[in-house]
Amino acid sequence: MKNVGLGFRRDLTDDILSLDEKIQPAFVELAPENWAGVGGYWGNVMKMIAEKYPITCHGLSLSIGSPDPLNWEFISIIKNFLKTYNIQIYSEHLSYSQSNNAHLFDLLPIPFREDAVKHIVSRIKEVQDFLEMPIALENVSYYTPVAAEMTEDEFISAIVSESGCNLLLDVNNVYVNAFNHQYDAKKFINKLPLDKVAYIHMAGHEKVAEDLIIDTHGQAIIADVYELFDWTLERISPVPVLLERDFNFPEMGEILEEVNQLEQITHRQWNNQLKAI
Amino acid sequence: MEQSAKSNLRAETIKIQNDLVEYCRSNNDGNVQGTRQDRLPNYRRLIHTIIWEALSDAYPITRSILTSVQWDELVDDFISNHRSAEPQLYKMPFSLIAFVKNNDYQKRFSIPYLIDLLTFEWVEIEVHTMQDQELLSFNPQGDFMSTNLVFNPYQRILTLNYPIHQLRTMDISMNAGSYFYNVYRQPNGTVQYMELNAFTRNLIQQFMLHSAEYNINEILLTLLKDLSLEMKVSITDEVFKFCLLLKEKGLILGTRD
Repeated sequence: MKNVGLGFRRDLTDDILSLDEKIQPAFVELAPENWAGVGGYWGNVMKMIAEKYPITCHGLSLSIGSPDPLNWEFISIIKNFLKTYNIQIYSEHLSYSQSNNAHLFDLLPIPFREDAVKHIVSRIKEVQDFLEMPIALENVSYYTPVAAEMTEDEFISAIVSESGCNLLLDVNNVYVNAFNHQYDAKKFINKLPLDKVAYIHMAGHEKVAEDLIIDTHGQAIIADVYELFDWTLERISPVPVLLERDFNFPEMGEILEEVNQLEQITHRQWNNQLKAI
Repeated sequence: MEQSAKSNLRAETIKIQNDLVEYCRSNNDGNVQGTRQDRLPNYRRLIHTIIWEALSDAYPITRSILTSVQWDELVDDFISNHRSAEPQLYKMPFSLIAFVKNNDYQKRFSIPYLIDLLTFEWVEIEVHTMQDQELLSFNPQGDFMSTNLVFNPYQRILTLNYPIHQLRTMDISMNAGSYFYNVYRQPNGTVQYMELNAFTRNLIQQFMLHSAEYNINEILLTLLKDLSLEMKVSITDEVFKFCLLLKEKGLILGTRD
């Protein structure tokens, strides 16, 4: 049973659509806002992808941590998209990308504060009720703390436990944050609600300075992140795992080698407990 | 848009979050409470790159017409001064057209056709990605003068002030006038345009507007009612040829089954 999926990007279309079933990833993940409402050539590609692969969705613009009101028109579009393609897993980022009615299309760090926890918890509940499904929220990479009054693990744990949402554990983000903010990645993971992990992300990053890594998704996964992934899997039940690669694409063979490496680790750690998504 | 329940956020937290967004949008040195100032520029750079690339992808010809300094200035100004309410990144570039118009960049950059060029490029994207529709059942071989027509739903008629289609071959700055185009999507997904004149533009508009109720002969009966018989015959003949062309290009799919 395969367990590892691949982030679908338009640059990968021909390869993804032509892969033999024996070597293709278990599923593909895409950002629903990049595909909802799209017809024509790309609409047709979307249909072909949906015929060939199970799909999971990983959103970019929900902006769950924003001070601005939730955009229900947008969330309706997402709901309709999830329904159209019978998508069972919808995840988003524990961040915000909009405030003062300005969308910035990137993931900004939320102040780790009690009032932000309450604000986000209530919004998660609203979104889950509306979508009629649980969502999984990802621990995001961040390059500066923002007026924090609690630790990152306390912030994430409080949100997950109070809202009832799932956790998308991005192992590379933990590694990046641990490096950038000088904490111990394993101790951090141990403090998270690991029983609520519903999905895992793995990716590459780029070290741009002696004390700074940027979470680029443009490089191969490094050995230390594989090691952290291996260590993490021992502590959680089997869940789908995704390789994210967003640009600087190598040959598909290289990407599939990474997928295979992740598969081998999941099989070693989870043996026969794997379930199809 | 529905409003969420009353925010639980303290005024200070809201201010910090807004300050971070405003910092990223601006080019000013600034501080955001409780952040590492040496790390903040990473966010500004990442956001700038995302929006710069989205606009460059949407408007490649505009970008090539402007100098790189002008393009960067336009994108910077757009990020700083325009609040994009659009959560879907692929739709965001549309708002650049209004921004350019409202801030008179065509004068600032001395490119009078700038808005037309942006509009032309955007309509190409819009038609290319237009949501698929359930097509009416049609007969591709039907008599399209006496049976109601089924049009390709993926088309937009554009009225511009400059001949954008001649941009690559001549300086169009001095050629202000009225120019009409039909931008349409072919079954294979590629987008084409067809030049129209005022008469054919009106014809297509009338046909599309009334094709659910009337066939072309019936529509022409009304349109040409004040003309002599000789003129009617001549124009009807030309309209037939024009319809053949529209059919050949896939703008008319056929006749209603």
